[in-house]
Amino acid sequence: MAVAGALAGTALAAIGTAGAAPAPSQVRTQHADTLVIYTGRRESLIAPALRAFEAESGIRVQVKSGSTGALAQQILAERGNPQASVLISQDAPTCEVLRTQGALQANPDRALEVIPDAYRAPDGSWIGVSGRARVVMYNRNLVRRADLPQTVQDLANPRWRGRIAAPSTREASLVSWAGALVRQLGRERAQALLTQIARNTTTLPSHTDVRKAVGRGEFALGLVNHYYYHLESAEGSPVGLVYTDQARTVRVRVRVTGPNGRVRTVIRGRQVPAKPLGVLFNAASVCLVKGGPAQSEARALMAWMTSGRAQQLFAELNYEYPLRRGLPPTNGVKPLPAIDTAQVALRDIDPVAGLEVLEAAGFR
Amino acid sequence: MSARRPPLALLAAVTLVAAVMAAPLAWVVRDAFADDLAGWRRAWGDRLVRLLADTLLLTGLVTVAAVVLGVVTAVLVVRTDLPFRRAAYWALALPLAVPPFVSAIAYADLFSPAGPVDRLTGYDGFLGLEGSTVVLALGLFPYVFLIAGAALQVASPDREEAARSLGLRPIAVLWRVTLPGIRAALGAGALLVAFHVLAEFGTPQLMRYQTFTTAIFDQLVSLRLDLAAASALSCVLVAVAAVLIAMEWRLRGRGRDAAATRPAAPLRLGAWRWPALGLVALVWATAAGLPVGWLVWQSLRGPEPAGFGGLSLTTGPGLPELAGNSLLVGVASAAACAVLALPVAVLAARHRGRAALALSGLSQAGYALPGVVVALALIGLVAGPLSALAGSVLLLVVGLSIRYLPEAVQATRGAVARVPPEVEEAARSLGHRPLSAFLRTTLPLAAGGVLVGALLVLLSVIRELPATMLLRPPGFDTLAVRVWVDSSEGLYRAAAPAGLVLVGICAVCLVVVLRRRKGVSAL
Repeated sequence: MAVAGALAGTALAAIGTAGAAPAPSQVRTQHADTLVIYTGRRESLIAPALRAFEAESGIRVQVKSGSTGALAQQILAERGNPQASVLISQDAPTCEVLRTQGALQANPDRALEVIPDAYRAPDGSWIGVSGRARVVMYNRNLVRRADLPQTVQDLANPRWRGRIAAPSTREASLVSWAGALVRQLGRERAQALLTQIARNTTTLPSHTDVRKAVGRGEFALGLVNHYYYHLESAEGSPVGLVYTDQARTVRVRVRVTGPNGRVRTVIRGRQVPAKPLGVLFNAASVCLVKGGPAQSEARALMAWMTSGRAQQLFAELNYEYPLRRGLPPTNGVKPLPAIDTAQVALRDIDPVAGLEVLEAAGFR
Repeated sequence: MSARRPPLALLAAVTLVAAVMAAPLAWVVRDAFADDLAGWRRAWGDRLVRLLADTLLLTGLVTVAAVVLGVVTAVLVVRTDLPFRRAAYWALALPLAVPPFVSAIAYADLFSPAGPVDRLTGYDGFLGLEGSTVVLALGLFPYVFLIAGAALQVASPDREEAARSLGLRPIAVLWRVTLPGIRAALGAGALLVAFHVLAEFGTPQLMRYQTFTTAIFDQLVSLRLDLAAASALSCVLVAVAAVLIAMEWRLRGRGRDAAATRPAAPLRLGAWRWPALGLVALVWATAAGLPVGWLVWQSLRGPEPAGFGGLSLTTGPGLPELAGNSLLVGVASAAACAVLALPVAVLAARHRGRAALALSGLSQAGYALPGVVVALALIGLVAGPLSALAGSVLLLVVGLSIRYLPEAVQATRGAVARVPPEVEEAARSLGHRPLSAFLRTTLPLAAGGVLVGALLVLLSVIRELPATMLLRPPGFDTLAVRVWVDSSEGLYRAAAPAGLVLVGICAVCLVVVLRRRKGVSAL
């Protein structure tokens, strides 16, 4: 037993000294002002913003990146012993799931009200910080404008067999999109539609892989958020984007009765269909974790994310929609009023249902 | 090998190590069978049979390809008059310093449909099974090359000469006498390759091919983190690995010829010398030249273009910090493994009996535990009994030590077995207590093997990707993680310098290991 003790002791000592030795920048001890952030957003996008936050607030942040879903699960698993203060999510519905599971902390900060109610939890425990529309991007060399899909139903057409790329179901925005379809069409119809689309679709690991594959011409169409089109286009690829399920203005003859009782026929523009499905407009969001360390620093981050400066940063770095009232998108992003968006509240989208129909449909 | 019953203290120490090593396995099995087999049903729903078939197909193809490549190159370098044999040896061993996932990034970038090679030549059939097979076979064949080369060097030439004197042509001698003579080594090499394929995450992921390991990873990063289904998949994967281990144990006992007293006369290649050298050059170019060249090219393209407002898109800590983190985890794991491997190696090398065999077998559970499975178990353990480890680097070190302890045990056992037990007995007869006698005699004499074991662990840990991704604490990036994350966002220029440093550190470890072992029997 002496040997065992000695050996185990040496081993632990070896691990212990090796673990304790590194320079402060490598393994930071958790000071009260260090903010631990889990982020499901691409690091290259969020890191510049967080660095700006560090510089302006003097608060140090530590980031663990991964998939939004996995990190949300980790927050649930750590409820007894929370490690993170904040989750930065690709989408709003995942945050709402965490809120309904009691993993988030209410944040009644009036300053957050610069973000419209639709993109914010009623108790302020999560807020949307930037908006993204769910679109179809295409390669201009492979698809003629006239052949473009105009609706999600068009994506189910066998002519697209093997020509559509989608990201894996690890991408929360894809899952939210499916969840929105479940909400809009009902589970059965959404399942049938997605199953047909899946037959035409190849799964690539991430949205970045999808945009690159469409950009170089491996696939004709890609299921992405709008800014992936802008990022690929900025690199010089021959890509375009379609906001699907929009109302079109058609000219119709309408009989009108004039004030004098005479009936005449006039030509008017009419929106068809009257209630289009619209594209899902989702919000990358920030959640406040219940019981996480550095709560006040976490609140400071949430407030900073809604500031004009941060909102502009997301818009300019990544072609996203600022969500703060009154800020228009920049860099040639189509302004929101010009788009028919899905009439479904982000809070009502069930991402778990979305994941289930995607998996049953054959998305990976 | 003494038949002596092992001392109680040694048995206790090994039992302790075995318990730690087997804990993740036990936890995964527990998770898989808890909850009314629901995990199995969901895993079954996830196309279990198809996954098993795809995984075994890839494993089989890569193993065959790697064995063919490894044996052909080993024969050329060890048994023929190939020009520049010394350079050829290093050219064929060093691809081991390039982790397959790094090669896969380069190959996927160049050979994707509609990618550069397709545009130039119209060849677009690279991804999927073919791509995974090519990249993994090129990345893993050096194991076979080194092991088969070592066996060829020490195999006695007597029987070959007898066969030749009886009129067999040189090729027939090779095929019918030489290769059967080293079949134990070939089997060991093949199984090592197969283990690596089973555990490989990055390559199939990039090549859009699904295996058990990628499917388990998917379960772990999905919104519905399904520990039960992931555990069920892990059980199947571990079972496959266990079958391979059993095969290796059977092979290990066989086929040991008397050691060579003199080198075999080299086969004359004649006019084939230069084509043979060309083949070696081609293998080197595809296994190491292309990926490293791609890394250099991407590094030389300068930083990523800045985003709007001149903000840099490249994010992580600088190279020194990344390399420091990689080395920190690597050295800590190597040190832990070196110490923990000692009692296991002594037990395995010096003692027989069922208890000894079972304990040393359990201590090497890591062989059957791919990184994702270790990570899965530790994630479960941290959510429960081990919550004190949450968010610390120690968790990562524990996981990787469990995963790679067998490498340290193998190297240490060989070294301990070469030390005659009489030396230690003499020390004891002079009044030293058993531990003191061991520390003063056997340990110093076996120190070379211990060091080699530690270096092998260091090398493996620095190359490891999936467990590191899953277990690292917030804010803790290593070279491998940085390469993976940046390249998966398409930021190749940011990923490449970290990739070069990673390959460089691995190459240094490898050179030290191979030099110490006179080039051969390290693996």
